[in-house]
Amino acid sequence: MPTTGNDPDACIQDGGASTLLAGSEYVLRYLTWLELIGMDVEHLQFKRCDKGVKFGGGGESVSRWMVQLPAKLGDKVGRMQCFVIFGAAPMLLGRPILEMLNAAVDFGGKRMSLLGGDCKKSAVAKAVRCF
Amino acid sequence: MLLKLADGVTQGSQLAEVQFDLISEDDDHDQVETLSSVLKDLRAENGYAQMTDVVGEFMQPDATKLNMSDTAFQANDDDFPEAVPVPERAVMKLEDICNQQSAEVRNQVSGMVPMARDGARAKAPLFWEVYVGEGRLSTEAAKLGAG
Repeated sequence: MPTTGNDPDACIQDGGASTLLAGSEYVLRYLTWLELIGMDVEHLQFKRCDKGVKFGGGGESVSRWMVQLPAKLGDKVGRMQCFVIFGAAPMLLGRPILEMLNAAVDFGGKRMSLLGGDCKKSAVAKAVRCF
Repeated sequence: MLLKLADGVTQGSQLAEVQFDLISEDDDHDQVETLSSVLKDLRAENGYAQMTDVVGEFMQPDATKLNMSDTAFQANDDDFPEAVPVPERAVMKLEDICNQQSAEVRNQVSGMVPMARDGARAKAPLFWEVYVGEGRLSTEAAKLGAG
């Protein structure tokens, strides 16, 4: 399992994932951080669901909750629906979300642009991100 | 590739003006619930409360890592009189071995779960092949029938 370091808002770009998905530990950690910086997390929208999730290696899980997670990608603020599974799976930014965000990935250059933003490099936990 | 969901955000108010709202196609539910309901359902009320301290520690300017105390779960030496000090290097080596074995067992078990289900088909043997040079098959793979 890849690591996302200690940043509470870290997530992994994963073109193999079919949705935005995260373990409950990472979601709650992100919400805790939002709460500590002054956001009213009690009024975030949670909905019950029943979505099966399959992982490489034969692992399976079921998401019982989804949440509209606040996000700021590049210079744009918004919300993204995230499916929550029980456990410590890191946040995975799946392909459909990447498509909707017009993600352009330059793996060779370790750069990525979202929502039409300019590409720039920035070192984060040995990885590189850019908007 | 690692990203940040709230890049550059230091105040909750910076996330107030929503410019995009991405909803899953699978969302056909109207009833909205709150964090309290989720915590209750996951039985995570206490864990969430403890998390506040951990994340708060991370947010300190001089914090380099989460406050995971080494002594929190440490056994009392008096309970284990036969214990002898071991060099740190040896401890780390043991940890690595244990973690590796744990990962191997976990992988084996997760692989066996689908096979244990009723009516499961036998899994075809899987050949892992590393191609080098001109892509010759390894002797072992050839013995196992890989063509």
